[in-house]
Order: sequence, then C-alpha cells, then structure tokens
Amino acid sequence: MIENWKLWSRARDEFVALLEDPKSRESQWQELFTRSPFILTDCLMLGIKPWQLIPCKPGRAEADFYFFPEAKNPSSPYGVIEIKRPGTHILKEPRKDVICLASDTYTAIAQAQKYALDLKAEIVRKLSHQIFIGNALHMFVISGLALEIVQKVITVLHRTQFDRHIPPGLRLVTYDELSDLLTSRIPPRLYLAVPRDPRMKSFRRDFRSPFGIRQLFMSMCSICGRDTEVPFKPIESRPVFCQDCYTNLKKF
Amino acid sequence: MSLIVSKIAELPGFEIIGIQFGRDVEFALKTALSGGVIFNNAGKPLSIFREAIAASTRDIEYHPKGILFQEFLSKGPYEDQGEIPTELVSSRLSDTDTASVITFIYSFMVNSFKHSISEMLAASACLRFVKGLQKVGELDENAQIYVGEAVNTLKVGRGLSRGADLYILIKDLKIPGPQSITLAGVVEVAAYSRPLCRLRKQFSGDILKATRGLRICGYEYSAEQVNVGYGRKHRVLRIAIQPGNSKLTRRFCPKTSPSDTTLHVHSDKSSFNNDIIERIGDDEWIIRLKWSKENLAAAAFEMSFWYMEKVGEVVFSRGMPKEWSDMTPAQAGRNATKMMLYHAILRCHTRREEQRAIALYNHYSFGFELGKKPLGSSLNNEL
Repeated sequence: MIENWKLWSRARDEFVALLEDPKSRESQWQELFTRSPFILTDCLMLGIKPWQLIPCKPGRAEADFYFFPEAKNPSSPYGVIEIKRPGTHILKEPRKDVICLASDTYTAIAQAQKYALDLKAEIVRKLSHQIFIGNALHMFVISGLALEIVQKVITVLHRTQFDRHIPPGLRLVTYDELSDLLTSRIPPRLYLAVPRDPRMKSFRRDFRSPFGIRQLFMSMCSICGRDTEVPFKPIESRPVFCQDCYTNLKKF
Repeated sequence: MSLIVSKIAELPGFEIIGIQFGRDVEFALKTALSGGVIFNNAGKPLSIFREAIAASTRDIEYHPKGILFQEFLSKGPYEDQGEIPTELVSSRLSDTDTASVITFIYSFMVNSFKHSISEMLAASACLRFVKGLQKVGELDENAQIYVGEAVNTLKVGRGLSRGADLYILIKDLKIPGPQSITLAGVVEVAAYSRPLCRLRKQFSGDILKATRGLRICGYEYSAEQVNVGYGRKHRVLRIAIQPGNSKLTRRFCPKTSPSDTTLHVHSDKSSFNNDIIERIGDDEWIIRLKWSKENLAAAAFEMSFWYMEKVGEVVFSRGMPKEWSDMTPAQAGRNATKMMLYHAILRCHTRREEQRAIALYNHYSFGFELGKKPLGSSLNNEL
C-alpha cells in the first residue's frame, strides 16, 4: 500500500477526470496507470510492488501491462492486464432480460488469453526448473460498463451467472469497480486518538459493533473547560481533556 | 480476582468478527469439514469456532498477566502527568504495569485470537492444496489433514506436547485401530510473515517431535508406529500458511437519518484475491491466504473486545462507579477498556508503547486501528 496520501489523492483525481472525459483514449489510460502503477497493483491486490508492473508500448500486439516473477522469486504471481476504453460496451441485451457479452468483450478476453499464454510460455522457457502450482496466473481486462447495466446483470442473471461467461483465471474489472476500489484505498486522514474532524463529532456510534455505530459522550475538558467528546462515558474521579490539552499532556 | 473462563456461560457465534468475515470463516470451516479435515472433538463449524475461542480464552486466562489485565479494568493507570500521588498508589496501576498490560493486550491477547482464526482459515486452504497434489498423483489418496489439538506429540518421558499446527497423515484405512501411520506433511500457520530460516527450523522441530510418537484423536502411536515420510523418497511436505498482504478499505460513509447521523465504515468488497501457493523448496511451500493480515487483525481485535466484555462482567458485577449505573456489567467492561486506554496513552514512556496504546484505543473506540504511524515516518496523516 502506498502510504502517501497526496499521491493517492492525485491519482484518484486524475482517474476521475479521465473517467468523466467521454473521449478518453486507451493510451491515456495506459499513461495514467504507468504514472501511477499502484492503482492497479494495490486495487487489484496483485501482490506485487508497483515497479514490477511493466507497461508495453501502445499499438503493439502485446498486453497493455504485464507482470512476471523475477528469477529470485519465481513463485510470485504473474499475468497480464488488458485495458479498454470506459466507453466500450461489454454487455449487450439482444432480447428483453437476456444479457450476454458483447463482441468487443470477447475480443478483449481472447487478447488477454493470448498474451497470458505468450507470457507463460516465456516464463516457462526462462525458468524451466521451476514448477508453477496454484492460481498464480492473473489476467485482467479493464473495460467500461454503464452502471445501470451492471445492476441489471446482478438482478436478472445474478453475479454468479454473469461470472460464468468469463473464462476461469480471468477477471473482468469495470471502471466503476476500479473507481470504488481506488477511493476505498485512500486512507482517512485521521491520526489522533480523539476525533479531530468537526463533522465526526455529530456522529453517534454504538457500543456493540465496530462496523456499526458507536456513541460519543459529551464532556468538559478538565484543564481548559471547553466541551469535548470521548467514546466512553467518563466518571467524576478521572479527568477528560480536549484535543489540544490532551496533545499537550502527551508531551511530558 | 476471579477466573473468567468458567464464567462464560455462552460462547459467541461468527457475528463477533464481522458479518462478512464471519461468513468467510464459517464457509472455510464447512469446506474443510466436508473435505474430510479432522478437528478435535468438533463436528460443526460453530462448535469448532467456539472451541477455538475457548482455547484462546484459556491461554489468556492462565497467562501470568491475565490477572493484571483485570486490575487494569478495575484500577486503571494514573490519569494525569507526573508522579502518582502517594494516596493513589494502591488504587492505580503503576506505569510499568500499565505498559505490560498494553503489551499483553496488543501482543499476546490479540495474537492468540489471530492465531485461532488463521488456523481455522488455514484448514480449507491446506485442503485445496492437498486435493491438488492428490489429483496430480503426488500424494496418497488416503492422506488426511488433522487440525490443532486433534494431534499431539508424545514427550520422551510422559505427557503430551503441541507439535505442528496441522498435520497431513496417511493412515491405512484397511487396518482398524492404531497400527501404523505415515507422516506426510507438517503445516505451520502464522498470522504474520516469518523468515524462511525460522520456518525451516520450525518444520524440522515439528518432524523431530513427531518421530517420538503421536496421539491422534485419542489413539496413541508410539515412535515405532510413526513412519516419517511417504513414497520412495520419504517425502515430508512442509507447508507454511500465511495471511495475504492486501489492505482493508478504510472509507467512511456518513448516513443521515431524521433523528441522527451515524458514521459507518464502508463494507469491504469481495477480494479479487485467491490463495496463492508458492513453492520455496523441493517439498516446501508457502500458501498465502486470500485474507490479509488486516482482516485477521480486525477480527482478532473484535474477539479481544468480546473477551473484555466478559472480563467486565466479572469485574463490574461486584459494583461499578455510580455514573455507570445505567450500564450492564458487560457495557461497563467495554467502557472501562476505552477509558483506561485513553488514560494509558498519557502514561506511556516510549514511542512504541504509545503507538500500541493509541492503536488499541482507536480500534476499540472507533473500529479501526487508525493512524498507526510507522516509527520514524514523516508522513502527516492527521486531519
């Protein structure tokens, strides 16, 4: 995970700007992912370092990105990533409630499979003494998909039925999903134990579940007398401090 | 101070580790059971889960610092700067004790739960791997996986000891009773990545222990009855199972209702990951689970919070502060945990202690280990 918040934010802004541009080209996307490879390595959870993702030149009969094990570590995941424009339709509805993959999608899948096989052959030739076992080969096709169609697919065919159309070992990632993942990878800018964001003070959280709601209790700072909130119910014998006093106290 | 284990009337279900992750664990256990993995005295996913929690709770309970932890909840650290006033010395924990409780919670308690969860998840991952080897003819079809306490090693004198976390054993099913058994593999489960040299040392130790004899589901196999290795080359598989490195989502979603605004943590999307199997030597493998260290840590923190609730029930059933009279003893336990950690942060003398206390406080108060800033990092991730 790239820990630099600014880097992630900039990547997200560029991603969103490009996504909003209806005329964005494949090469622009490739440039973006080359500049910020951590979008792919982290969001797709490839288990590799960003610099291990290798871009190919646009326009050549190669995958857009590929990653493969180094000689020192021949068992790390390897695979290819094929990128399509966000405008590319990957589903079509020939009849009412009948949804199947569009021809562009089949082409993209076939491309990804071919490039992946080429890569595998290359690796096996280079590292013939190694045995590959398990599901280390990853193929990704990133393509566009209107959100409403995704929802329709989920309701009509269910996701499992949709996934059945996709060959094993290949992941079809939509820009919507990638955008969601990218946003979720950006760590919140919280550090101190006491919430600093004024918006957070209005949130009420329950005792029970961390993923649910937890309650904050109003209290008065024992040093400066300002109102403050803490996630536990204070008792008289123990003081409660506001954010500034708490930080100052910690500097002893 | 009393022991907690005997006071736990009802052990929890999968929901305490979060709905999605709870389902994952349940599914992993179901898969393992249906694939013939043998657990000790448990035939249903829920009973295995509860057995694991009970075992961890017992370990925590009998740890020398288990009682100190109860004192941490009832007394707590001194809540201000400087020396502890003489009149409060007996009613407050010393800074040294506070630091050791923090270390105990952060290292031992959480890790104990983390290891239990890893073991449960590892069973299904190991099963998939073993099935794969059986499919390609690299392993006998009668090989079975035994988890945790189902297998103990015999000590040289008397008594039993714990060997590997999981064992792969081949039993001749045609002969009833304990005739002889073949050790086909040892599996070590870790909640964090370990260096290869340590893993290899551990594998050797596990195999050495097994040569002294095994006790499998009540049957004892003496050293002569245990054959180490299978096939012509006497292979013993050495498998390490470790969590993945993916990160949890940390997006907050505020939801406004007519009466209130609540802050929710964005539910994690299903991971794209699968278990990754790596071969590190002739018979050595590492399986990286699709669940990450963060997944395991989050679940372990939840389990430790549940344990604190139980400790609170015991500690505060004898009486609690008047301000908390509207709370149940369990709620008081959780509340006390947060309050004492809040004050503990002020009493930390080293950066490491402070980081741990902050991480614990944040997790129990807000649900995530937010802002655990790496030592020496210049990154400013404050608001």
